[in-house]
Amino acid sequence: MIFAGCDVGSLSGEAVLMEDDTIIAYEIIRVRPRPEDTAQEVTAKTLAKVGLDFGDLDYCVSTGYGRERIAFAQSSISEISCHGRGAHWANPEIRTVIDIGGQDCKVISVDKLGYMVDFVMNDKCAAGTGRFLELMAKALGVELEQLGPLALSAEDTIGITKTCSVLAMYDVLCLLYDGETPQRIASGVCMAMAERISKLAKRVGIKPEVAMTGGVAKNVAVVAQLKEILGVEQLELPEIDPQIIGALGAALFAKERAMRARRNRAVSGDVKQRKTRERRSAP
Amino acid sequence: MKNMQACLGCDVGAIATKTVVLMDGTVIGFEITRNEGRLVQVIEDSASRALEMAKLTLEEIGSLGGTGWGERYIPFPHFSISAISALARGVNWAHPRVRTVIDLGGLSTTVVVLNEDGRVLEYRTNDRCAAGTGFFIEQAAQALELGVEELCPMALAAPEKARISAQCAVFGESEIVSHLNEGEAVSSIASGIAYAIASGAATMLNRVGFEPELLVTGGVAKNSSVVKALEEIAGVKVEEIKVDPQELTAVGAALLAREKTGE
Repeated sequence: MIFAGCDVGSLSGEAVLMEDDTIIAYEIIRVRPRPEDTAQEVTAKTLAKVGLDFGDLDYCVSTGYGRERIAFAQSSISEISCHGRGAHWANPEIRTVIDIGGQDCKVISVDKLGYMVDFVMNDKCAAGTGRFLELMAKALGVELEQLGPLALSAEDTIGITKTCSVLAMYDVLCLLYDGETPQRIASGVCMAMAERISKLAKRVGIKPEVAMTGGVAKNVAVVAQLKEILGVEQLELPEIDPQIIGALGAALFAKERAMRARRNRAVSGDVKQRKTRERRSAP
Repeated sequence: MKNMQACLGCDVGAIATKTVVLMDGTVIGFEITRNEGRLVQVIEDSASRALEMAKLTLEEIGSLGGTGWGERYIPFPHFSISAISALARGVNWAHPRVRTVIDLGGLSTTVVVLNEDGRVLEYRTNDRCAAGTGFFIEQAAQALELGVEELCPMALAAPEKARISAQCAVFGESEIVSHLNEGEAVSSIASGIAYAIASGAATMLNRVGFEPELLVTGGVAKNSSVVKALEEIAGVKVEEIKVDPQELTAVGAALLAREKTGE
């Protein structure tokens, strides 16, 4: 059976296809203006990778902020539950998931089965989100992907004191203007980000193991600095793209729901058959 | 040869640099320059254009005052004046009856309460978050593919207003884009933007506790739909400003510099 999870975020859209208990394909795209278009495009691209189409899907669950407008999904589940579930599938020892998306920042506490128990989130302000890093990369004139390596190449760091993304962007421009090196500024930016995340994480409490998911988990400097602040050795999930964890969780929920639906159908089918037999045998 | 009656004030804001030249307490030169390119160059250009308008040279200016976020980049010798004092002095110069001023600047919002003599009784600045600032309004206009000056007539003509929470300048832009995608009318969004900025300003005014008369200054004050929305939300009349809302801090810096030179 084929299950799909589709995560439409504010900056990117992801889809994961699973056959039984294996990921067979995934895809990440930049969002289109309408969430339904993002979902359609990313899922179609993922299906095409393995020569399938929408008709081959047994069940699809959507998640992310645009989740309720995706017509081809049978149901939708909050991305908080999906990130917990997805990270736990990738490593069953996970009890805390730090998910930093394009426009929000969440710390999710999960139980030993991967179900969400508690969470805290900031979605009021761009501070501590992927958007913050994007703006900082823009101010530094580098690609988002270069920001982490650039920060790691710095010999020391410089304090970025402004929390507001817009004000921090102006600070970065001033620092560059004053002759500060892009390496030190990049390091300061990633440090500011890690500190912001750690403050949120401490509100919900850090239970090991801890995983970081979402696009920001791809920034090596933020991950390294966050490990140091939180005092944990590992934040990376084994052999998986941290950006697809929400979609993966959705695919796992899709499997669960499809199985439940099949069981229910089987049960009600049995009842129907029995009733037909009873009627036939009646005089 | 210095003319002690001539003074220059330069207010280096986050988005624009404002320079004024005064002679005997009257503005005879004024220039607003956007901070694009090298800031030192922007300031030099701004000052030389204001001086050109005043038909004076820098050498003829008796006293110079600098203020604002980028004051340290001013390349000529000057007195460094605090932005709060400069704003208060400028407001008192233009509108002596005003007791409360809210300055809606490029990256900050400031409320100053003055007494009869124009002395600062109390002030509050929000320079930690860009929500509701000039930066936000510029981003918003850009998202709507309009010029900043086009927002106001649109907002004033709007029969309805879209809900914009604008707790964050960055997310405000995404909110506007989603409204557009939902098919919301541009005029309703423009009106929603005005109300979002005004409601932030009203919250800050109420927190400080303001006295009439009330004046709104700064670049955002040029958008009268924001001022009108503020009157509605705060339930207060805003004085009609007699000068350019962006020049008062620079004027105050110039006047305070002249007073310092006299000491």
